[in-house]
Amino acid sequence: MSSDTDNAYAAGYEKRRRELRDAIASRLTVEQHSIWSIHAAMRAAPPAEALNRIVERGIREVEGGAGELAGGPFETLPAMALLCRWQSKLPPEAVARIKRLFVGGVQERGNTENHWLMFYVGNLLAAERWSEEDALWNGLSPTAIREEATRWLRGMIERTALYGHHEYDSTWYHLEHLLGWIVLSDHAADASLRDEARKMLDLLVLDMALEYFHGAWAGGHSREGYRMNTQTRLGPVIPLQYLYFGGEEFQPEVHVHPWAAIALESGYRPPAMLADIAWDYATPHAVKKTRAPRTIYRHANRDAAPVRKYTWRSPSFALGTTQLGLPGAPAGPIDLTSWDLSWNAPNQQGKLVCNHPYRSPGRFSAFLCDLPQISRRTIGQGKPYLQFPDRLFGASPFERMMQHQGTAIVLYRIPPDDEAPYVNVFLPRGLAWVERGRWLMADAGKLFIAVWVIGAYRWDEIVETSGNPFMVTQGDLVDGWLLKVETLDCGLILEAVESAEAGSFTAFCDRRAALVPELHGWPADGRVAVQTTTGHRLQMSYDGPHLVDGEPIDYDAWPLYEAPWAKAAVGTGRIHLKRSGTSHDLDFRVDPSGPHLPMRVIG
Amino acid sequence: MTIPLDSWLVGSRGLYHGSPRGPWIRQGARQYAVLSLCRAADATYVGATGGLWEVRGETWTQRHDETLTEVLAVGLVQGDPGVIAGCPYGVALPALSRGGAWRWSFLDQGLSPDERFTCCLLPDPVELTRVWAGTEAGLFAIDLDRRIAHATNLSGTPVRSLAAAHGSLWAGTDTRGVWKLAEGGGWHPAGAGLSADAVFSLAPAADGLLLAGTSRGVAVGDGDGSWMLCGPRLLVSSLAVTLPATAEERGTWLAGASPGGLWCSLDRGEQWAHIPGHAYVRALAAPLPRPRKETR
Repeated sequence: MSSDTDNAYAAGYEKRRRELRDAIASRLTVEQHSIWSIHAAMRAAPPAEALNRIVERGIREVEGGAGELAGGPFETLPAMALLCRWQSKLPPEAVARIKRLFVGGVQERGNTENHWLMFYVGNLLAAERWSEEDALWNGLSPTAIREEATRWLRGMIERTALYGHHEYDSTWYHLEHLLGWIVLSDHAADASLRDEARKMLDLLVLDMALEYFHGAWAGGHSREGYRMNTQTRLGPVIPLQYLYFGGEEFQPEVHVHPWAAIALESGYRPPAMLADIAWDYATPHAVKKTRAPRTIYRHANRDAAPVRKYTWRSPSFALGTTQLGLPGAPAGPIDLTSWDLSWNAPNQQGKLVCNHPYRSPGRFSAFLCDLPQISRRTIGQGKPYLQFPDRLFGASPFERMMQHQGTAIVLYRIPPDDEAPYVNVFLPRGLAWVERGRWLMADAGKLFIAVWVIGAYRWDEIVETSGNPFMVTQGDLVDGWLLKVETLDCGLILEAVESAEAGSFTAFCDRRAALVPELHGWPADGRVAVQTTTGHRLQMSYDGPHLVDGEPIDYDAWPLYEAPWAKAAVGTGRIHLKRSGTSHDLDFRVDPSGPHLPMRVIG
Repeated sequence: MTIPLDSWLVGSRGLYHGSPRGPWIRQGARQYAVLSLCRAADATYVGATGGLWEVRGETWTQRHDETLTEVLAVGLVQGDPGVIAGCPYGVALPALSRGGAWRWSFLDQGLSPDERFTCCLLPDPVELTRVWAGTEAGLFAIDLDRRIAHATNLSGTPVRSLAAAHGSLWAGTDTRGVWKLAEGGGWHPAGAGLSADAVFSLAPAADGLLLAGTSRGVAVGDGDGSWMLCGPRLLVSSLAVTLPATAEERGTWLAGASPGGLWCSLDRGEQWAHIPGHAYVRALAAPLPRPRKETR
């Protein structure tokens, strides 16, 4: 990449940084800021009293305690980020309160990877800053805390570099991961750890770039629950995608999240090539990724296999699917979305997904330590939507899929005694669907879509809202058509094509309708095959091989990364990026022979 | 304040000590979700969702590291530090590090996820190098010297509770009620009427009786005859009992439910009284015996 290009990226980056910072600062009065967002206002030197109140609100006392301060990951990281960045501008009372949290406070570590990252970054920085104390909040010396935190952080770096990110590609939690490494890269005392943190940041930004699509994150996600996966753009990660990738006009209502303020003062800026990769889908291409196995520690006689993702980015659509590697029922991670078709359209009009709303109580206790007999109720009380019958997210142990370019086959074999003996298919309302010979086809402008539902279905609608306990009239969470597929052995075949390549919609419909899926082997033999309108043949066995044009897909040989500009093999710790003659290599210098820090978190 | 030896311990959202008639005092400010307790004369080990803590007086000291979390079981063994822990990732033993922190190593080689998931631990009262581990896959006997877990004939069902009582060892299972270790080795069902019940907790009572915490309340039996249910129909996740000190006393039975909180019986289960203040009680510990005063 030329220095001109690099300079242009840097200039654009600075412009976006100012836009975001000014937007966050202008949306809130000083008093309304949190310890996350106040970074955006610190250059204006807020009054000391306001800063003290912000820190007091951010770090509260234990209820019923003797004045001890309480905090978890969502306090430890922003507290140290604020102190490390702005200590010269913080009043002594605020500094003292942050110190109290780490010297005599009560802290919790959490149970997901982003929790532990924020917790250990905050505690590492605290141990470095207050290294002269005899002991910190947990009775351990600052040295012991620093060593533990460093082991975990380096262990996470190694695992990610070798086997893929654990809490992978989450529209919800990727922001926390980025912020954790940002704070570490800016403030850790150890230069080598700062360097490793910057490499991790490049890797996490690469993860976004490879599946970026018109301002959204396409494909499968480890954690995209909360009933938002039919939205076109979602997740608190959006501001950092805008910051790092640019490529569109600033839209405060879309691009602003107050927590991103921490990143806006960071010295970290990704390589310019990642922004180019993010916006380069003019030529259709496949992106392959391996992600770390899911944490399934109960109700299983084998460990989960690695997660393998395949995403096809085309100019007008992105289709992504996942081989989840789950060890069988009742493992079904609750927040996971395994596949979707997405295109650039208004909210709720640019997604197509299907899901088996698996409800077994065992799916909670497969990765949570609560008693299996009560976990459904204890988890369900806090998140009732995890049990909704119309649920469109969350993994099912009975789901299998394969994909080649713009075509995917998704199959289900649901046991007769399952509590949810059906599959939900979401279709956007805004398309005029045509039904021909069981194909449902739609002209979405720049793309044509064809869907074949395997099994008996009925056409319904879904409207879900985040508010209004009395009457749901508008669906700010989910709003579309819902096909209920009420056959136990069912599925979906989907093909998306560029309309510019397919000729007219009528011609596409003619070609698609003429190629009937081969279903004579389903469900008895567990086999389905389909010919695509672009001349390929997909053959899928439910628990057997997946073939494209007669060649089996070798998932065991799946790369860590494979895309036109990225190459990495699993287990090497080396990622090679190259674009337009410019290379950017990430070598984490990991000894693949181990031993490696075991994964002890969910997510 | 140091926890008095004659205090009961309740592990719920925090560690509480007191007596059934009150008051109950939370030990320190921590409100961790407590999963297990182990009481020594001078310290209490608290297994919580976030890890393992050693409580001495008002001081809570972290004893987990970056590999130990969700401590469902904790026990005392020989050696230094002399603690063993069980969690979803297996059974682990600590070693002291240079800076005084504990570093844990796991006995998990060759085990499946269910075989690693450890629900309860019981150091053998006779064989000091053996620890019994109840897992999601069944009961294992751990050889501490060789650091190997041996499967037993109690397999194919989760084992959620273990107890040493009346000269024998007892195990509570998810699908087969209570089992007992026979004199010749090998485990067999104990008593009648619980064969299909889940047993979450066990505690010895007076007169050769054993209490079993089930999903339908407290079951009382001697392991030979029928088990008799008593008390509210709670999922009894923890039990603790004091034996009567005199012929006139009847002892105290404490039952922790999930959910349902804390319940107490002073008349061997005829009547149970709810003690407000808790919703889920996963761990209980009875008062420690008073140290005998030397007499001249």
